[in-house]
Amino acid sequence: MDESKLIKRILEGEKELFSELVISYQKEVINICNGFLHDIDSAKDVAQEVFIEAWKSLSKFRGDSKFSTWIYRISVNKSLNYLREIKKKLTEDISDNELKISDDENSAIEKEFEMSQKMELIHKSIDNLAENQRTAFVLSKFEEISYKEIAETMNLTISSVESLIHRAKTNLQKELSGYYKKN
Amino acid sequence: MNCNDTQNKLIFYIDGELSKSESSEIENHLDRCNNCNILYQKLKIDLSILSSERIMEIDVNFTESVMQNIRNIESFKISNRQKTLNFLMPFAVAASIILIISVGILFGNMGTNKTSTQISGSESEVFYINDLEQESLEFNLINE
Repeated sequence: MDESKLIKRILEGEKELFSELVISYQKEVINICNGFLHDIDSAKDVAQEVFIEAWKSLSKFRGDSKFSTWIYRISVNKSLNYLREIKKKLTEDISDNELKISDDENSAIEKEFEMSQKMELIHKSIDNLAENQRTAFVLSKFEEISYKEIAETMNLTISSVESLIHRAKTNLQKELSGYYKKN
Repeated sequence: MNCNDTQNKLIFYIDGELSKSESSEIENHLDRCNNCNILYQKLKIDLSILSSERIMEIDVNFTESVMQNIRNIESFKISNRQKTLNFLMPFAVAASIILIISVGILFGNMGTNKTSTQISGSESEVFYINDLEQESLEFNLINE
């Protein structure tokens, strides 16, 4: 069924048809969230929130942009918000337990040294990218979304997206190469 | 191409984003340089991890879970609406009773006003007859 007709029917009261949108976009949404969070369970939780947000705001979707672009944008925002909340919570925990953390600092550093697993290394490298570079990189790498659609999702020009992805890859390579040389 | 140039372009080479000539220059360098080749192999393996993390299949349980959440939200909205209605119902009944009583009083007053208008109308009629200086029945009887 044509997507705009599907959305129209959902808004007219055929609520169960929303499941068709969930089926069509769940893979993309989960992969985008996972690209930011690096944890499939958390990614699925955030993806649930993405679809619920889309459901609540569906009446505001005017069809000026593609539904995919709209839901990718929600996915990026929800993932970044989730990361900010986690970061804030961690900072609060650190200030609340300053002594405890400083005691644990050594073991944390040791753990960091133990983190030789490649997955953690690459995740850390991605997390170290600037937010806009990370967003463009995740959208292109994890869901192979076209530069045009990434540009629409991020409200940027295609050339800006190309530049962001180029810089993201260069920085990622520098980070990884630096690590390999050290170890 | 030297080591530095090669290493700076490895990620783009792995992603297949270089021109044919650049790619063959890198390949030539990797054949000759063991250090760059090791770096290339490590980078290639690590970047392939990203692709392996992607989910490729649709999860029916995920869809059902989203739909169940939405149904819960909708039923919560309906129950909230019902609660509001239940809360407002006594006020609505009271307001209706007050309205009915007020309307009753208003109509009652209108009826009373109408009677007094009729009375004053007959008084003016009598006055009119008197204005014609007609003598009353009692006056005629006394005179007889």
